Amino acid sequence: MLGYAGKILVVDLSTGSIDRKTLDHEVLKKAIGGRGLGIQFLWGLCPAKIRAFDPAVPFMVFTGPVSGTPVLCASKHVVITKSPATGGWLETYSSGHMAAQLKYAGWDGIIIVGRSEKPCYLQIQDEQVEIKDGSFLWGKDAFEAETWLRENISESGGHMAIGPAGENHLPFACINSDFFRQCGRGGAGAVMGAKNLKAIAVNGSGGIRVAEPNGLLAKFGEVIKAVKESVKVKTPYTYGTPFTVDVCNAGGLLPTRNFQSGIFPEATGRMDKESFREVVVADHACTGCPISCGKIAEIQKEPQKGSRVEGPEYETFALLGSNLGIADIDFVSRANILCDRLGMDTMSMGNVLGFAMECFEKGLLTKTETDGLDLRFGNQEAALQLIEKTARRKGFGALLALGVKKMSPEIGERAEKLAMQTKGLEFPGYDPRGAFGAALTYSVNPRGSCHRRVWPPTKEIVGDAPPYTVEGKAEMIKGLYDDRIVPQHLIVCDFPLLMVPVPAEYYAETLSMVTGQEFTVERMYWVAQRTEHFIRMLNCREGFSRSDDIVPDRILEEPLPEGPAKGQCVGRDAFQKMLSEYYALRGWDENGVPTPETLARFELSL
Amino acid sequence: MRALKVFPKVCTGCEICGIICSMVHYEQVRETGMRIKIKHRYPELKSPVFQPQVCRNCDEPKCVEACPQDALVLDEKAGEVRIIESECDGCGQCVEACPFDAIWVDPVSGKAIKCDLCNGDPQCVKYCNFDAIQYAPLSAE
Repeated sequence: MLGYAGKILVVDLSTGSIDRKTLDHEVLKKAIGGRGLGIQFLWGLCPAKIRAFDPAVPFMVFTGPVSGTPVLCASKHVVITKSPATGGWLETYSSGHMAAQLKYAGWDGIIIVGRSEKPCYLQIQDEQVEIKDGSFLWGKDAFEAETWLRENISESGGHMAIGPAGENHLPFACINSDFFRQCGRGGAGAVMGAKNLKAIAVNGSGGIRVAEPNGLLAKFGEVIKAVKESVKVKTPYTYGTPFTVDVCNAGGLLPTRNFQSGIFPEATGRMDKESFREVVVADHACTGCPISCGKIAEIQKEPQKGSRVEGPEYETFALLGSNLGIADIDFVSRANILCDRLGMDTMSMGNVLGFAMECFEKGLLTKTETDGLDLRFGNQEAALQLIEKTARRKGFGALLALGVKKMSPEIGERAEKLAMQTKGLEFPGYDPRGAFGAALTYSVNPRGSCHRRVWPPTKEIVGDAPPYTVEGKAEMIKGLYDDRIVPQHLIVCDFPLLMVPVPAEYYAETLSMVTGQEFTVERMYWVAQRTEHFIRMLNCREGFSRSDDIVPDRILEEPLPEGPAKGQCVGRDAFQKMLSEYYALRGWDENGVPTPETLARFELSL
Repeated sequence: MRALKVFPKVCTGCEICGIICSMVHYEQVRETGMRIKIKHRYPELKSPVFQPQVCRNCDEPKCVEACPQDALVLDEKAGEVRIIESECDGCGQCVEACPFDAIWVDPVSGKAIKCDLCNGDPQCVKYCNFDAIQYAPLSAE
């Protein structure tokens, strides 16, 4: 099939061997690419129930058949591995030049196993693949490492680099590409760190061939026109994702002071979409994207006046802003740059700090433990100091570096209720008490609590679904979820689906035009659902069960104290009812295990 | 006389121009075949953050001057620098000479490549959603 390079690079860092796997046509028809290929290989290659840092765990980067082609927003790559945060499935996406360069170099993906004896980096130039001594890069922050790659290998190459957080195996260490784009969630950077792999640099001189070049160009022109004419797209273009601060604040689900409240009035006029717009100095679109939701912001005040950051995105404003009781764009930008340099997920870092601050205010932590820091909500300087200490596991930072789930038993029983996480992954920036469907999304997502399969406000806040009920939510969430996982197979950004909107037919047509193999909308959805069952089986194999598909007590039992969702909590029984309905719709049994009939229907013989 | 004009201030760095360029010339996407590229100013992000690099068809082209093979010629009437492929040996002296980093040696063909204005109908212009590349009469005219 065209579009694909047709082969995967296989590197063993323990032995230094470099090999390849040819992609089988029949596998591709059932996997397409991205997370579809990811589960295929993770299932086969990763021994069950081993630690994420075991050298046997494969660390994999995948593209998809349309990556790099003129299909809307096809610049994503995905890292698939075992999550150090959850111990289960991890998929984490980023953009930049990695996907296209891998394809130019003639690879659909990379599988890396083993552990290098010394720090190393991987350099790929077409067929020439070298594991190089990276000792001199070890200890550098992620920006310094990537700058070295740009200056010494190629300015326009595909790059991935980790910072000190990855080297120190933090369960929320991320991987940077093009400096400001991250495979952010779930600790993929720590898996690289555990393999002593500091960076990957890819350059390709070849081309990506497609079956119908003229048809594809015509379609691309049409979809760009649709973007231009779309009214919906104007909001993310004008404000970037931070427009969501206003959406969530008005909806009463903006995480505030570690999810103790869902509104943050202080944000109005100081950290909302209009005030963000004032500090935006340029737009940045991912490669192949005519929308450009990426914004570049400039810090207005000293210190760091004049420094620029790509972002901050909404999630960072929510979790390092309102969630810490801080309404200051400059602070969030500074914290964002620091996390990017250290190679840490801003979302989990925000949760960790918010959790520690609530513990401090409730007296569960005192200055004795916090290295003397006054850790009340709103303390910006303490937060910045702790970000640095966390990445380096220094002092009180060593506790924060565990992530909220593992921190709580260290602090004490009362802290457990305050840890906002599912399966070990910290919460995204939406309080499910303000949109009950989010509780289901967070609980069934295989990588832990995550907003990337279903954007919580879609129907319950900006649509017309009633937010404070579980009735009808299982069906609603399953529908939205399936829509969203289709693009994650191609791989393309899932934003245009919602924000233009671009119909599923566009993706089926262009996938067919790229590959020369007919893909219908039904076929794409079949593949996407097959992958979901397959991933579920992997997590079952890892020991996950219904009891892991849960959100914290706070969401189930503690009513929100103020705002539009005042008095709301999901309720234990209501949540379990919604979960059972979802399982039934998916074809999973009461324990959340795909039934034999479901597996047979999706041609999974595991 | 018309020429491509770029507006870095409104360029979002999406690189759709390069993708289109390669597709139009080779029916495939290949970075090494793109005749328009975007320079990113990482990690400081100083303005202009994204600088499209494309041939400006200079009045006194340094590339023509530098070419030892006379493979680059200035068509004064059309106001365009052209590459005579049969004469080019890929030595790269034009690449060194170009002050705008807008001419490259394609490792596949071993020959110099640069924007050829798609025979008077530059396709990248049509796909740029932000009008960061325009094809218009030169202001001198």
